[in-house]
Amino acid sequence: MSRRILVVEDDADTADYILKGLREAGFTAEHVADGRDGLYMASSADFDAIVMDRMVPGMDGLSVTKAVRAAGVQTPILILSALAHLDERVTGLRAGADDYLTKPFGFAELSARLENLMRRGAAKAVETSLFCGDLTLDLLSRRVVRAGRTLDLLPRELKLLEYFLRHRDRVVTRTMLLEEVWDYRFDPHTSLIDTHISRLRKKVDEGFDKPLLHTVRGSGYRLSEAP
Amino acid sequence: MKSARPIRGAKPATLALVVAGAVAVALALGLLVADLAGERLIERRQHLVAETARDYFVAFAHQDGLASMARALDHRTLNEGGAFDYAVFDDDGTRLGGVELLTAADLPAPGYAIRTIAGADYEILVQPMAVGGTLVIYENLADRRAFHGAILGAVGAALLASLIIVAAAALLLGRLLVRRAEGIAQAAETIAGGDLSARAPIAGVGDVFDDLAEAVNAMLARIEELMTGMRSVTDSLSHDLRSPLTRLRGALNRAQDEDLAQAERLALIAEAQARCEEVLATFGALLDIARAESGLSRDLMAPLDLADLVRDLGDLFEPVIEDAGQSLTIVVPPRPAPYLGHELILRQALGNLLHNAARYAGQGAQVSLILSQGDQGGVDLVVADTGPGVPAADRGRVVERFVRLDETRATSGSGLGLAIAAACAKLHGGQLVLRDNHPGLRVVLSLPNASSP
Repeated sequence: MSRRILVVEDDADTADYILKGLREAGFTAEHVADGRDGLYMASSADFDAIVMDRMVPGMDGLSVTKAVRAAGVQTPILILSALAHLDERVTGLRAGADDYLTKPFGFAELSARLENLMRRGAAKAVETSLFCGDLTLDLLSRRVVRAGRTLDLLPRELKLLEYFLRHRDRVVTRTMLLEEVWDYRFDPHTSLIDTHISRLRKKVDEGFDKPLLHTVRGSGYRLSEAP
Repeated sequence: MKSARPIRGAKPATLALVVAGAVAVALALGLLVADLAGERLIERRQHLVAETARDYFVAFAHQDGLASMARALDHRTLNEGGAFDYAVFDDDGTRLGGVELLTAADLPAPGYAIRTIAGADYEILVQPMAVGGTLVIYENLADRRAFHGAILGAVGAALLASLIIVAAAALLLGRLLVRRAEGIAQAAETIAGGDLSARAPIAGVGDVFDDLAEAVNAMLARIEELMTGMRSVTDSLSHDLRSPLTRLRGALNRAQDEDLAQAERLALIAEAQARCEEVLATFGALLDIARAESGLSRDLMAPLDLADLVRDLGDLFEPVIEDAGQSLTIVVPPRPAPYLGHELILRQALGNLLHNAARYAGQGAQVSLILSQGDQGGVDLVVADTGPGVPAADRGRVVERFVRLDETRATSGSGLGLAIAAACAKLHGGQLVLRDNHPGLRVVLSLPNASSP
């Protein structure tokens, strides 16, 4: 069964853009343009994730989020907002949202984050090691082995690799990495993350016949066995 | 400007009039009180004199008889020219001695009474005596009135004099007030006329007008600073947004070419995307600065460990600095450095400083990221490099928004990095200082003691 996503967005163009993208990606998407309808839908039907615009008529996105949480609904919520400031993000998360994305945004960024949110809710067994293909990270000894060879990684490279392994086979954007690995929320246009990736790639992929760390054009990176 | 004139002209006169009017009313009241009180005081005093004399003569008659007393009265009448006259009558109404003003038949009832005798007013005290006969004491009221008049005259003259003095003082003070206020008003008018450099005059006497003028001047200086800043921001902003937008439009125009190969088109679209990001980043940075400067972010201050934060940032930026052919040294005390601050903005500020170092310090430079004890219990976050540095004359300027020292703008970047760091310092009540690192640049983000944010 395909996953269902609720989109609460009053701007018709943005809503179309999101809905089209979601449907092409294989999701079932429902759309409402009013905050009150959003609250009704969110608390009555079962969704896998909710995309909530911060400023919608009827009831604003933050209040809807609070109300949804107060009703005991744990569906992941991603807030969309034209308010870019850091503090806005924090207020969004405090209201009970799980992620916050600033307009304008690329669909790749939105979909990567939605995947991330939906995966987060899935079963979280206690893991002692993570792997991708012939690469294994032992979480207890912090040792990385690929094809029987131990890789010598710096702590920050380990941190980055661990994040990739936990999001195996999924697209991870530069801003996601900055935000979740370094708690740093700025400058998406700098080469900061690319520098880290190229170093990690050198250690993880160089000398092995099959690359694991792939660049996804226009959106970010993916760690995966498949090319 | 014209409308200010009539008010200004009317003000001192009105003020003086009001003061003079109030004083006049007060004086009239004072005079009335003096009059009433004076009259009662004099009357009581004169009655006391009359009654003392009466008691004396009654006692005299008791002891030596009416006849001796009558002689004494004659004697006193002859020798004394004062306000009091005396007479004594026997029970038959015959005057035994004293002055001849009234006959026994004309005497009023016992006690005080006022009568006009031969054109003069007298207050008469009639006292029948136990030994027989009646004692009469006349007081000529002309004396009493002259005395009363003299007192009133003196009081009135004093009051009038003070009225004149007060009115003159009010007039003068009003003129002075207006003259002092006029200077400030003129400065305001000049500024309204477009000359922002006008300032209110300061007399240097340290009075309330000087205080006012100083406060106004401080405000004007700040306004002028902001206006100038705004002007240069507008100029720079138009440049910083116009150039990526122009390139964005160019890329899109070229991408519309139908003969273009797919790969080329994709490259142009990627270029357009990069320009969009640039514009958005500039906007985001501006918003961050505005918010940090207005202090709104203060409610998001939380306890954090600066040592941890510095290590983290060093970790994040080390590869970039190494790729720029530089080396990074991180100097952090081994123990935690708790601080109440805005973590995200602090991270951004430090990140900007490290970014600047990577961008401008040049190949082979040594970059240091230092957390150290500052002045007065504060904390210093320092990013130092051994690059070419910034000339002393430019060090104040580069903290402003959009200032980049290479005027050609060959290097990328919005020029907002240091402004964000400065806004961050301001938000925490500290300051951003640029120093000479001998050689190179030393940027110090000094934060005051955590307990006094």
